[in-house]
Amino acid sequence: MLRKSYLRRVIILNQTPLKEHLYDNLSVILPQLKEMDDLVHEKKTLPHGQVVYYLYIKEMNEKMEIQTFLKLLLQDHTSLTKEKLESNLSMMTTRSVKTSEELVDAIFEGHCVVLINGFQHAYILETHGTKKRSLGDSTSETVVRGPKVGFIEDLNTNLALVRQRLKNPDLKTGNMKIGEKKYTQVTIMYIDGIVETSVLKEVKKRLKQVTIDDIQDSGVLEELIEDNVYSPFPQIQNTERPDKVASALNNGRVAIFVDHSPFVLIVPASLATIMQSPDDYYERWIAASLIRMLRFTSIFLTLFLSAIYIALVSFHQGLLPTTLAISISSTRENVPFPPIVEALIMEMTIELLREAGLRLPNPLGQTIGLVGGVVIGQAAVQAHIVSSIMVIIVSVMALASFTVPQYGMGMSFRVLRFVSMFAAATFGLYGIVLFMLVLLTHLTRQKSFGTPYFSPDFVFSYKNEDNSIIRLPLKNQQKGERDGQS
Amino acid sequence: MVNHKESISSYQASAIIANTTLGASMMILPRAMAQAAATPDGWIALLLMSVIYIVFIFANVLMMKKVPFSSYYDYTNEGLGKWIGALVNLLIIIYFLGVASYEVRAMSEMVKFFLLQNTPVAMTMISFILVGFYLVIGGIGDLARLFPFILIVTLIILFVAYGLSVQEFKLDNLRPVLGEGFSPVFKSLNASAISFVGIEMMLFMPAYLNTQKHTFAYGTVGFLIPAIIYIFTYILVVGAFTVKETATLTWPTIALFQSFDIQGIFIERIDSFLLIVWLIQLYTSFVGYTFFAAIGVSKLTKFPKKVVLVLMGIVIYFAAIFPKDVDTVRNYLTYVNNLFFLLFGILPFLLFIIVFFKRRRNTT
Repeated sequence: MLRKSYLRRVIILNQTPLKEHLYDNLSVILPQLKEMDDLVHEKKTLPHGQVVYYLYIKEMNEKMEIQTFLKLLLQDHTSLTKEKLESNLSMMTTRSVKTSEELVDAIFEGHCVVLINGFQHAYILETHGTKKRSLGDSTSETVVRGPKVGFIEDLNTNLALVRQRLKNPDLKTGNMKIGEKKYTQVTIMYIDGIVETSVLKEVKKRLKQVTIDDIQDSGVLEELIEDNVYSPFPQIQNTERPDKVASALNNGRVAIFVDHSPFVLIVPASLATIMQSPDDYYERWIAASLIRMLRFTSIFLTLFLSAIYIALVSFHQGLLPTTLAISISSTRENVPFPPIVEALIMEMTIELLREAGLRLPNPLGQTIGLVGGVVIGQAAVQAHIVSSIMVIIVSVMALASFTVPQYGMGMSFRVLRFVSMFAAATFGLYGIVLFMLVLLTHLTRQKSFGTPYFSPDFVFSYKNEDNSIIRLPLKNQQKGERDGQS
Repeated sequence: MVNHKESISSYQASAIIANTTLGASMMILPRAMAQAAATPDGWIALLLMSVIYIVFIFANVLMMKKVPFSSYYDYTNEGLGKWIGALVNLLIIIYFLGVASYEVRAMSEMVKFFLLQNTPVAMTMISFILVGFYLVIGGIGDLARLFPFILIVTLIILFVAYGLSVQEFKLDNLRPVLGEGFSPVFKSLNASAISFVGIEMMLFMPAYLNTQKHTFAYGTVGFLIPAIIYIFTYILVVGAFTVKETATLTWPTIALFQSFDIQGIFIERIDSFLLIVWLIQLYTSFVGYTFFAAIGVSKLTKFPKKVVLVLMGIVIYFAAIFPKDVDTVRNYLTYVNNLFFLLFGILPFLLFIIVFFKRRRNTT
C-alpha cells in the first residue's frame, strides 16, 4: 500500500512534457487509454493542411460546444497561429496544458482534449456536462411547512443551493480530492469567523487521511471520518435539505459535500442537533417545543417500553398495580412463551415489515404495512402466540422509533432496544437501570470532532445553549447570541 | 484519567459533590437515627450536623485561600514528606475504596431485597462495578457533564415522590420536640455523620476547576442538596411511622412509599421510581469515590490506567462481598467513619499549619 502510493507520487513528479510533433504526443497518451470503446478520438485535417486531433469520452460532455469549436477551426482558411486560435477560443472556456498527464486527467473528468500538430501545448475544452436529475423534494426529510427543495447528486448544484440562501461574504468553500487515487471530489463549506477553527482543522485532517476510493455516497465517508466506529450512534449529521445546511453553517458548523451524493454531512453533531427538525423553527415555538419533548419521550419509549414490560412481567409482578397485573396475566394466560421470546417475535415481525416496506416499490409497500399491521397482529393474538398487550407495546415502540428526524439515529435506537430487552430479561429492572447508565455514560463520553456529543447538563441549564429540549422564541435566542459574543 | 486537561465549572463541581454524598444513606438514615436515639429529634441532629459541616467547609475554604493546593494527594506529600505523605495517601485510598465497596454492598443488598431475589449477588456486584468503571475511565469532564443531569432528574423525581407522600405525614409523630432534652440529639449526631461523607471531594477538586472563586459557594450548595434531602427524608419517614416503628424497618424510606397508593394513573405505587433513583445515586456515588481513588492510586504507584482499574475492581469486589451480614458491614462502617474524621476532620488543619510555615520559610 505504502509502496503503491509512493510510486504514484513519483509518477506525478515525473510529468511528461508535450512535444511539438502530434504523433509523439499521441504515442504517449493513447497507450494510457487502451480498451476504452467509449472514447472518441478523431483526426481532422484543417483546410490549411494542419492536423488536429481531438479526444473525449462519449456522453460525458456537451456535444454542441465541441461542434462549435470545430466549426471555428474549419471555417478558417488561413494558416493557424497560436494568437489567432486563442482569440477565437476566448468565447469558450478553455485552458492550455503542457503535460500529457494533465491531458489524460482532463479526458477522464469529461473534458474534450484538442491536440494540434506543431503546438507544444494542447487545449482542453471545458465542455464537461454531467448527467444530473432536476431538483426535487427532499424525500427522506419531509416537513409540513418550509422549503421543499432537496439536494441532488451534483456537487456544484448543491453548493449553489446553499450559496443562494447564504449570501454571506464570509461563506468559504474548500475543494479536496480524497481517497488514495483522489477520485472523490469533496467540498467543505463553512462561515469564516463563526466556525470553530479546531473543528475545521480536524475535518481537513480526517479527510486527508481517507485512503478508500470506493466512496459512492457520503454515508461511506461518514464512517471513514467519524470518531468512534463502534458506537451505535451516528456522530455526523446528514441531511438532504439546503435550509438545514445553511442554518448549521450559521451556527458555526462545517458542511461536507460529496460529489454524487444528495446527502450532505454536517459536523460536529450532537444528540440534540440530530433530534431537531427544521420545521421546529418554522412553526410556533410552543407547539415546536412540545413536539421536541415528544420526540425525546419517544426515544425513551423506543428504548425501554418493552424492556420494562419484560422486567415487570418476568421479575417484579409485585411492582404493578393489582388490577393491571391481573389484566396482563389474563392476556398472557394462553401464551406459551416467556415474555422475552414473545417480545422478540413481535419485534422481529415489526422489523421485517419495515424492511419489506422499504425494499418494495412504493404502492406495494403500503399494502405490506396494512397486511402486516392488521392481519399478522390480529392473527398472532388469536393464535395465542403473543399477548394483545405485547402487540400494543410493540406497535407504540415502532411508531415512536420513527419520530426521530434522522433515519440513521432512529435505527440506532431500534438496535439498542434489543439490548435493553435482553438486559431486562436477565436482570429485570436492575438490568434496565444498568443499561440506561451505560447508555448515558456512552453518550456523555462520545465526542464528535472534539466537541461533546451529549451535554446533558445543558438540557436543564438556564441559558439553554443548544435549545435541546425547549425551542425558545427566536427573540430570546438573538439576545442570547448577542450576550454570548460580548 | 490523571492527564485529563478538561476543566469543570463550579456548578458541575456542586453536582459532583451532591451526587457523591447522596448514596446509601438516603434509604437507611431514618432507621440508623431512630436506633441511636428513641426521640423524634433526629432532624435537629441533622440540622446541627449540617451546620457543623458548613463550618468545616468554611474553615477549609479559608485555609485553601491562604495555602492553595491542586489536590489533597499532593498537599499531604507537601506537608508530611514523601514517605508519610504516601502512607496518608494510601489511607485516603483505603477510605475511598471502603466507601465505594460499601455502596456496592448496599446496592446488592437492596437489589436482592426488592428486585432480584434469586440472582447471585456476585453478578449484580460485578456488573455494577464494570458499569461504574466505564464512566470512571471517561475522566472528570464526562463525570461533570453527566452528574448535573442525573442530579436534576433525581431531584425532580424525589420532589414528586416526597410531595405525594406528604399525605402520610402526621405532625404528632414528630412531637414532642426536645422532650428529653438535648442528650438524645447528641447521641444520634454520631449516627448521622456517616451520611454526609462525600463533601471531602472538594479537597480534591481544585485541580480541575476552571475558577477558584466560588469554592465556598459550590461546596456549600453541593453539601446542602443532600443535607436537605436527608432532613426531609427523616421528617417524612418518622412523621409517617413514628420513631419506634422506624427503628424496626429495614428499608424505612422504601416502606414509606409502599405504604400508600395513588389512584387514577397507570402506576399505583411509586416505590419502583425511588428504587431506580436510588440505584442511580448509588452509581454516581460509587463513580465519584472510585474516580478519586483511581487518581490516588495512579499518583502513588504510577501504574497505567487499566492496571489501576483492574486492581481496584478486585479490591472493591472482595471488600464488598467479604462481610457476612449487614451488622458486620455496619462495624466496618465505623472504621470508615473514623478514617474520615482522621483524614478530613483533623488532618487538613495539621497540614495547613505545616504547609503554611514551610511555604513561608521557602519564600523568605
